[in-house]
Amino acid sequence: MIHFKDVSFAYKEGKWAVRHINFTVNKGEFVSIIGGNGSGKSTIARLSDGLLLPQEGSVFVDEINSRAKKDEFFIKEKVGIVFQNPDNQFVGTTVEEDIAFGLENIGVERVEAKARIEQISSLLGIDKYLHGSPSYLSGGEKQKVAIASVLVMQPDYLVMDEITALLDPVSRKEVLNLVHSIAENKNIGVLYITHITEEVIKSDKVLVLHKGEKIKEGAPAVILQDMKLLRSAGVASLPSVIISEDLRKHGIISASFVDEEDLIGSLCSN
Amino acid sequence: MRKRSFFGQYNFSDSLLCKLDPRVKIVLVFSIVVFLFFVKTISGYILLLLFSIFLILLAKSKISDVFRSLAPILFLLLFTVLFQLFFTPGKVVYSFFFLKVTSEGIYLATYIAMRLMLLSFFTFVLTATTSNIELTDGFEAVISPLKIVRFPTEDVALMISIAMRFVPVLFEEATRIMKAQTSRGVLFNKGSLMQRARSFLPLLLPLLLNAFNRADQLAIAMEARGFVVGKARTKYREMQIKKIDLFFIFLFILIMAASIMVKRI
Amino acid sequence: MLELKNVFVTYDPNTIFMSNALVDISLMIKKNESVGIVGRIGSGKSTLIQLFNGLIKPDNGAVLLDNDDINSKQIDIRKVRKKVGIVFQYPEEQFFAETVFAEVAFGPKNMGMRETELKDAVFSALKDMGFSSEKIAQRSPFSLSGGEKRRVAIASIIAMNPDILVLDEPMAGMDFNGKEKLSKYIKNEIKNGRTVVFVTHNMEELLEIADRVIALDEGKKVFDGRVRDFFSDEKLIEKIGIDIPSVVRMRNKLKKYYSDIPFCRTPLEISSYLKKRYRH
Repeated sequence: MIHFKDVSFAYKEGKWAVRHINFTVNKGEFVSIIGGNGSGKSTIARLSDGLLLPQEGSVFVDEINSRAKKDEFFIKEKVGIVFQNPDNQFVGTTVEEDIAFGLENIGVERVEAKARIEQISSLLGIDKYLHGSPSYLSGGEKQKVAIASVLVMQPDYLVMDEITALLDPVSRKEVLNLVHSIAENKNIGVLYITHITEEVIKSDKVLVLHKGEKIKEGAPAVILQDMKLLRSAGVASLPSVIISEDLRKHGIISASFVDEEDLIGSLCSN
Repeated sequence: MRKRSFFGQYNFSDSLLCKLDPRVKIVLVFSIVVFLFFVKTISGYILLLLFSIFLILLAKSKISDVFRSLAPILFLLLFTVLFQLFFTPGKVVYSFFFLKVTSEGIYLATYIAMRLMLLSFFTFVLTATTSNIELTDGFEAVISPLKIVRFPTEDVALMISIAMRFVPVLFEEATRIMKAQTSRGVLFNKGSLMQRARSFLPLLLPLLLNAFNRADQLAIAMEARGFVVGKARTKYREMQIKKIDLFFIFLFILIMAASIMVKRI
Repeated sequence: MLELKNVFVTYDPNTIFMSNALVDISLMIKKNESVGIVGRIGSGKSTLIQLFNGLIKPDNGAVLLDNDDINSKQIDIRKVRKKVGIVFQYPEEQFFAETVFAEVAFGPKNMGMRETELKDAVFSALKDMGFSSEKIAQRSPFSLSGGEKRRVAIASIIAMNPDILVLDEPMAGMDFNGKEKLSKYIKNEIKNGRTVVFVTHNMEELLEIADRVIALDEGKKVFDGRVRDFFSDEKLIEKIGIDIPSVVRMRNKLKKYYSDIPFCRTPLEISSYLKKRYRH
């Protein structure tokens, strides 16, 4: 379990980037954080991996405090993090090399490393690129390599910091689906950070972040229907919700729909 | 836009030379290049030239690529050759206005030309048959004795390989920024030297700032994957000296010995 | 008016610049149009727009601006670049000046604009991009927020007062608020008579801003026409690997039951149609 207990963090004194944050991510759970630019999303990502340490409150990973110096590696092995720009997270000159980098750091021997890399790369469908340079892949493929190079370290939790923000909509969907299927199959806890509303639909729970504070936490269906809340957090509402709210106000339908099919179904049945 | 031919750019092939251990290749090429300065006879150089051509063929490189790789040092080559040719004192064999060609001059010029050419041929073979990773790995191994004096050989090698990784990225970015600034009316290849120099600021500054930004993000990503400067790491890639390496070591020694002895026979 | 006549661009697949080939492209961009260029990565979109101001020269065919071939020797290429202003992807990554003013003034200055006009040009461009106070001009461009940076970068092209404003993925990497603002200001430019051409992956942007779509697939022009006609050709959309926006998808599904539903660009257009339907 990743556990944020009343966490506050400031890059500059007196200017809180995040304030009084509380939440948990259990193993096998898919938790999304949604918010606009400057809401503190990336800060939370870095706090959950021990890359930043909170000034107030504590971050625990499986009961270990991220401040405990001797357990620093424990946290980095347990929590894998993927960032927004894949070009700035590659170390190796080939894909294989890059996936191996983390394993070399945590002392995995060659034979095991090789087996793990083969297994992960075929799982993510990037085995055909192993000997090529990551520079020449498309954005979506690059992010798959970045995910593979974290996943190969066999973390229990994955933190995804706006990993689709620079991708086109088609690869965006592909990468998101991939993360969902990995989380399910490997029983990994995911903290998925995004500013794109439709990406949180399939989460177990959603946190809405605004100006460094958690303004709401709940099931996606509840959060996504609250247009006022989303607007104040600077994120878009789903078209299906915009339509159904407008129709509900005029008494044409009685409930709001997150799912397009449900909305169309209810409109076309009567 | 054609592909730029870097100094013997690595081209993966099934050539025998690609299978050699990079450490062996680096040491062999380095020693033969140093050795060039001890060869004193033309026949010795001809033997080495034949050997280098043999290696180039073995590397499955095109001869045209080899000559293209000579381009960057062509000026240097011509300059030294002409300088030696005309300005070496000695017995005059031909004069042309104030320029006098001496037999000593011809002798020296030929030697220097041979040395420089062979030097670039051998390094061409090395860079054309060894990938960047292998080069850094080999380099790391070759400098590893420096560990005794606490020189961070692994970190330096990693640094070099990361720098190489970023070359294409920075290249692409430079092209993009250049095009963007061109669209804002900068003409990069027109005007006085001063104007040209000034027009590079809008290219260089953003490029540098972006590079720092990238470096910063990369450092965080590396830390997140458990990297700590100076901490022992396991090695994923394997280097192993095989029979074929021994064979080439033997071949190189043989050729070197022969090129020194050749005149006495 | 910009015209491409049977343009071919070839490239070396090994080049690290990843430019993409174009095959026999002919098109015309008329005054006061708003054109979206779509296609998957590597379809040649970026190459296409770089032809517009002579950054890339065609191997065959011609690029005409107001009937003059821009690649002929008699043409002053700077004048072409003044008329066709291109904003590249992540334009804020080109910043180098100390102040927003100097950054925005850089282009027009290079184009030979006089000091007296310069100030007006800069402030009017900043105003176009939604900066109402002149205070912003003295700030460092690096101190701005992501959305502000993007708008300053676009202002730096608008300050040259181009006839045609070309944008490569103007909204890339921006959040909802940033996108909403930027699309408002771009739409204003169109309303005020500027021709706008933009490359996008995002079909919501296309729906919101463009009247006309040019679609590329493997370097060939596969569609050129109205936005509504583009989205009714589902086969083509699938072929060129584009994500149908949910508004269009919902409208198309509703059409099976409500055969008279018009083409809708926004969710509210759908609901207002439905409201009208239910009133009767």
